[in-house]
Amino acid sequence: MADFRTSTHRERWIFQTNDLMDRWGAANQRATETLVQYGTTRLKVDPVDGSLSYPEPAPDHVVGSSGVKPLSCEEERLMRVFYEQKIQEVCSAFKFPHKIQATAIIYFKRFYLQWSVMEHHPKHIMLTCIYSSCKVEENHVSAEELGKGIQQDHQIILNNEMIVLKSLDFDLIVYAPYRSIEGFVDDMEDFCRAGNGEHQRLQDLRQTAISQVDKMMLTDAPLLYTPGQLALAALHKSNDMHKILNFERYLESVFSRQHSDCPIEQFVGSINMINYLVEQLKIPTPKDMRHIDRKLKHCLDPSSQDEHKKKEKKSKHKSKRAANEAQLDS
Amino acid sequence: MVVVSSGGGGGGNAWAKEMTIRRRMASIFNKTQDHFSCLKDYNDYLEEVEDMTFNLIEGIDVEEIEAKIARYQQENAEQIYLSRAKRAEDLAAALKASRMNPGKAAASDTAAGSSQGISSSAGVQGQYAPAAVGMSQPRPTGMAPQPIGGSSDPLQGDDEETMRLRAERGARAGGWTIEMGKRRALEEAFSSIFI
Repeated sequence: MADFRTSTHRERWIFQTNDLMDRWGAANQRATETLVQYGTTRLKVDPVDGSLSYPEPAPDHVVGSSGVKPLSCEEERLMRVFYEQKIQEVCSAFKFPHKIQATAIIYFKRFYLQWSVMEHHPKHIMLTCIYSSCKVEENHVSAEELGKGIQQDHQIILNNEMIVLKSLDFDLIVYAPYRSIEGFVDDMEDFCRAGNGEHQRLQDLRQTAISQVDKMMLTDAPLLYTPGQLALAALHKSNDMHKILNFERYLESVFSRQHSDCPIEQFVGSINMINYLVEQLKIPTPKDMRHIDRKLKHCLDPSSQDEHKKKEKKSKHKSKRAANEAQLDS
Repeated sequence: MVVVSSGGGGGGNAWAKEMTIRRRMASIFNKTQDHFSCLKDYNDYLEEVEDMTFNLIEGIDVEEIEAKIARYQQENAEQIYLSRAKRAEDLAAALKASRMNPGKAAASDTAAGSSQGISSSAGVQGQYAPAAVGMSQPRPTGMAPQPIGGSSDPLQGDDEETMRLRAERGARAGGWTIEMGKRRALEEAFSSIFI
């Protein structure tokens, strides 16, 4: 049976906020330097072993020219959240269990701790993360089937598989809060000495907590806190709505059975911080993403910018048509 | 990483081609161990046939091998014909024996129903009569004897309760109980509260 205490998840993939900022900043900086030097940020990936080669410099590129602007860290963050939400939509469409959805999102988050979205398009990485997650969680779906379901070439999924696995350091076992929620709800039944009516209310509590975790997966919390902490934060929030038990007394009960040096006040602070992150979450709409997506397209393929400029010049006297073309570009 | 060498159709075609070649070779080179004086000669014969088959499948020395096959076919025409005839007879005998079995099984059931030891024993022995008569190589009859008392198995039947019981016992046979799921959930919950 898998054990969180001895897992790589606990040992290597839980960070402080500063660590996350440093890694995102480093990836963004590296991509920016690549853009300055080569005129593009797209990296070529060998599908057999995931090795990289830097792009060919654009024919008309002058080192240091500022024709194309890189994405900022904030824009990259919005893009990551947008595609993580897309992962949830795809998994819902395929009716995958929550565990697969969470595993795919965690793979996606870990991948983009190593890379910038300017280096590997998140639309492709997202699919490969879902594919790998299905294999790891013993719910295998072939790449052809996955590609067919979302109208994408299945070869894209396979080409990125090795680079994704290498970027995760092959640490494929991850822990999502969903099973922890099951455990805590079972424990709460004993805590409440629940009868039949209480049992039904606890099931409602569980469902609301699961919905809360779905939102939680889109924040940075899964990289900062353990699954048990995330589960308790979700149950805390859910209990605020359902008012089933005195959560403070329940936490004291939990702590009295643990041998921990962590004071309960500090733990409550962590729970409140997790719930704060969820409240602060804003999922970008496709409209919000349009500008960032065009910017990313130019970073990956600078020639598309010149073509876009030509289109604009031709139609600058017909503003409505220009607006339509801008929408079509999205 | 899956390296796709060709489309699924190609794979299917390759398989069909191989089976066609193998069936053709088996119908021509149909000697059995009885045709050889010692095991080594028989094994050498089998190896040579497999080499030729493999080369045909891979497209190696095809003309030379086809000539060899034609020559062998000419020289051993009578033996090939006789072996095919014997195989056909064996197959017919096996089918006939298999077709006779339902009656035997029914008789066996009747005997079992009567609970007379001697009759039951006779019925069971009777099932193997075809194998004892005139066949040098007995073949499976394709139908297992009916278990005595099979109708009293509590897990037989298609109703919902029986299917649920069967699934539950199947899981338990594999070592799983619902308590294991709960225990795992509790362990993961409490072991991951702290870093």
